[in-house]
Amino acid sequence: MQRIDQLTSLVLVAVGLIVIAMTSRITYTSFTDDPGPRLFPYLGAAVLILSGLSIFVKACRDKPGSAIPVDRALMLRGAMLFALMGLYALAMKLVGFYPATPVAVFALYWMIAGASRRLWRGIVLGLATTLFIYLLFTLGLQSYLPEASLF
Amino acid sequence: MIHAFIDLVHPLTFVIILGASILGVILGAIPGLSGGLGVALLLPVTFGMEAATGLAMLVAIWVGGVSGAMVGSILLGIPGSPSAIATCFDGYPMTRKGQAVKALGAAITASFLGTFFSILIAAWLSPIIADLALKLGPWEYFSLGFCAIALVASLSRDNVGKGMAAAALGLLAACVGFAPIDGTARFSFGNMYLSSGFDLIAMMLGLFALKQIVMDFARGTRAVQKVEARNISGFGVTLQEFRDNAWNLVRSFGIGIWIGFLPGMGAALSNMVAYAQAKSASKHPEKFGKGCIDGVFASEVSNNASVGGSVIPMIALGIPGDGTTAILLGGLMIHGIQPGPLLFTNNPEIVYTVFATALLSAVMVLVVQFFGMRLFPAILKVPYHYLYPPIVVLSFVGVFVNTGGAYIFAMLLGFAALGILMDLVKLPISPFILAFILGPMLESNLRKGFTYSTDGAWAFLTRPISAGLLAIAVFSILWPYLKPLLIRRRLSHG
Repeated sequence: MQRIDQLTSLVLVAVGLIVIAMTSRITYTSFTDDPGPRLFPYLGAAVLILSGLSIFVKACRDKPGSAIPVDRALMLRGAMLFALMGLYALAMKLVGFYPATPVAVFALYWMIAGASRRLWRGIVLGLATTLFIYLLFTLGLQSYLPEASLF
Repeated sequence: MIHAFIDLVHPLTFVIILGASILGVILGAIPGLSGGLGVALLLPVTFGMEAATGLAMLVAIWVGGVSGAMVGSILLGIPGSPSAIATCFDGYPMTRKGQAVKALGAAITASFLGTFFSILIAAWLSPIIADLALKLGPWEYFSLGFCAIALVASLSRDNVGKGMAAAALGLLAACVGFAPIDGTARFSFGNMYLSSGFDLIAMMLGLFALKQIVMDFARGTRAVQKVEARNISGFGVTLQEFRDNAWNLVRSFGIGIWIGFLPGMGAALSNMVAYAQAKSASKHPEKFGKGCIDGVFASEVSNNASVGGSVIPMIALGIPGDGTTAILLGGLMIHGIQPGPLLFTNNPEIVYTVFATALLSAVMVLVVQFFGMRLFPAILKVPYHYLYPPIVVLSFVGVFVNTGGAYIFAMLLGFAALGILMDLVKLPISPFILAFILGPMLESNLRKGFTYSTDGAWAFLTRPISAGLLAIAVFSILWPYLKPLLIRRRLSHG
């Protein structure tokens, strides 16, 4: 973790400095003894910078060679599933909940199930999930589900 | 309290609590999921309900979840949630020795005892603590919130800096949107969606549900293990075994309720502390880890006692005792109920609904688990590819229903990405969420503290309770750094 911690600490310190710079630009009207809306972000940024420095010092003291190798296959699998979730979000915005959900559930099932996937099981799961959400939110709770913005 | 019970036995409410208790047990039993996730997932469902009914449902899921987490620990050696990690140590060896019935029976009865009596104590203590809390000013509230965050951050014992960094990120996330007191816009970049700040539900579901699913999938979906469910009958625990463990049960109960009471330290910590204490105090510590029923009793009574313990600060002070009570607190606020000392005066029906539901749920969970002992192994066989896609959909729909805008999907995914990133660099999520939730309260009281006193910042240090809490906070942060120095010094002198 040594290198990852060093990198993390530098990012945290950088974020803290950016927050301080942004906070200094906040304009406000002060009244009696109120320290104003800048104080709290300054405090948060100060804690972040101090914590970042503490992580950096600890990382430098750690024995080298304790770095965890980056598993690219693991990251790719995670990125693929995350991208599918992003597509689902986009699809709900564009075509609405009803067309997007059965397809997304099927795709998620297909990806997660791996070798044990079956076409009809994925279709049933997609339709059953969509029906369940419709019954729960639309009929049961009279809530609105995402509607299409394209048409 | 009696009125709250009468309301709960309304057929619809009763069915909702029963269903939620069963759902909690199921979610708690499934590794990687938990009652806390169930509470987060079903929080949006409560929007259309009356506050008391919605809260009853969430409390029932929570109670069921903490109790159900032991099922995976005992039958598969996989804890359903962090609250049942110590249950694995002896529960699974008991199953391998053919004593699954005894282990499940011990865990079920210990869970019931832990929840039921801790809630009774919470119902008795909370009004007293609320009365005391009314005498506190903004200085004490700020210091209490800061102390809670410091205590949670310091739990990252191997690197307190990471705990504090996560807490600082949470505080900064809470700064996005309009500032308390004067309403100044901060860090919203002129974006109207950011002007009201980050959405708590999107944060919860992103950091817990979506992150968990992505990480589980990336690390490889776990193969479903074959579970032997035969020979399960009755509770399988003798009265003699209870007598032998009487002191163990009382001590573990005390540890559980105390750790649950401390803000930010819930069942995930208490089960391991109680297990360690049971082992060190035992006449036969060598049996621990090899299938000793004492270990199962200690772990299960303590993690469930933390339920009642964490209800006390939630109800009396408006401070969450753990991650799940943080979500419950969010649920109260979403229904327009302000948690804290005035809750007893303004919404007593809500307070007693929480206690009555928890007591009723404890009894329901006991009955459900007694009859469900043969079904648990079948539930654990449900593969993740059938569970995770509906959870993803429920997360997206849940945040949409809460806000009514598709922009929230980006926020949800953003928090999922943040959760994954924090997991990769080992930044703990609990201090981040606790700081985000407590952020507005902290800032408001910090600024009020300056305004109400002529002493400025000194007032935080000159008022005894405030100073004491700040001292605890500073000590808890510095202790992991000081401890090695003191040990080294002692060694060099001795």
